Amino acid sequence: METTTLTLLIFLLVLAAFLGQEIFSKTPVSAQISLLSSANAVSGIGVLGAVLTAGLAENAGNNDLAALLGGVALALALVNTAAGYLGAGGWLDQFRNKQDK
Amino acid sequence: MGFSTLIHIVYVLSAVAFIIGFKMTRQVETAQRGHLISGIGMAVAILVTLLDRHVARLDYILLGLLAGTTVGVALIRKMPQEVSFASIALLNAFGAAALWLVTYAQFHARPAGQGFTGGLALCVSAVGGMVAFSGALTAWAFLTGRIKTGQFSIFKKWRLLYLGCFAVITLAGLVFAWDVVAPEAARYFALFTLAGTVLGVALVLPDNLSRLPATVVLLHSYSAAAACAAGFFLQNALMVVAGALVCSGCVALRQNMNQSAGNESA
Repeated sequence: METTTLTLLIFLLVLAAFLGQEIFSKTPVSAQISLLSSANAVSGIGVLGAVLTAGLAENAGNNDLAALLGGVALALALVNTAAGYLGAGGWLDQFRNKQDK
Repeated sequence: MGFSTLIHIVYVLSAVAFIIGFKMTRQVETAQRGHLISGIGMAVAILVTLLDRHVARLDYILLGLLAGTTVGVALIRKMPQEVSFASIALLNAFGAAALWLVTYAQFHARPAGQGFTGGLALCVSAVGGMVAFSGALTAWAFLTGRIKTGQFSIFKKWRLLYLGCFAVITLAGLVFAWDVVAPEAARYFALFTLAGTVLGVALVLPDNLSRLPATVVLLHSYSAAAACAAGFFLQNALMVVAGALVCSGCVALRQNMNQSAGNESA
């Protein structure tokens, strides 16, 4: 890994860590679960890693396994992200109510 | 202006969307809109990642997108209406398992060129993903009543077990990162994965029901740390930012929850 890239990424890490601490501290009790479900959906950012892995080119024979694992990871990560956002937003509620009737 | 500039611009906007989304979810009135903004940021980030120069094929990606969305929508329709800690823990287990798989696949595909820092990032990502996965599954089993809590309080040496797991993970991780391309590196990878699994289950088992929500939040910070570390070996800035945001945020949220729980009991 290049030193410049590494330094910049560490920069981002430190700044984002302080910002996250700032945003999440002193959360009112009523908003805790809603904030947590939002945090869960955002930590589904692993989807990006899964896309990059599932798109790995085939070479030297063993990359095909890596891409396949990436595809499985993408499916798993999307379950988290899709269900996280849809459930937390409550957009499926109407649909669900119609089904119950 | 190539695709890579476009990707970076969109990533910055996505990061802003996440931050605004978090701020809005803090208030009950704006929570729903906050989720929408954050979700749009996520969707755009996923779409634009398809243009990355490392994405050479789309077959597995399309299959994964289709399967993941179908299962995700089916799962959310089965879940209770109200968002609960149990459902969040279950979803987090899926995300954490995905992170571990990504880490293993990347280790399998191109261990060369990662170097010591890349090796450390691989280790943190694999361990964080595995701890969060096994821990979140255990917490979900507790919260949904599949296992009874409190029956594990006979065992008194939890702290010793944590220390042991931590020592194994640190040692195996350092040896692993020292020479990622060595033929025995896969064995160290398996070793710290195993220690991570044990640690995840052991973190949750001694808890009682009232303390479980705070533990679910703690496990979240581990999976976010894994996502952040994965951002280092994939050199993806948005993963680093979102991972770090959620990781430190969950640590703060957990302190907050422990404090308010302390106030209630006092």
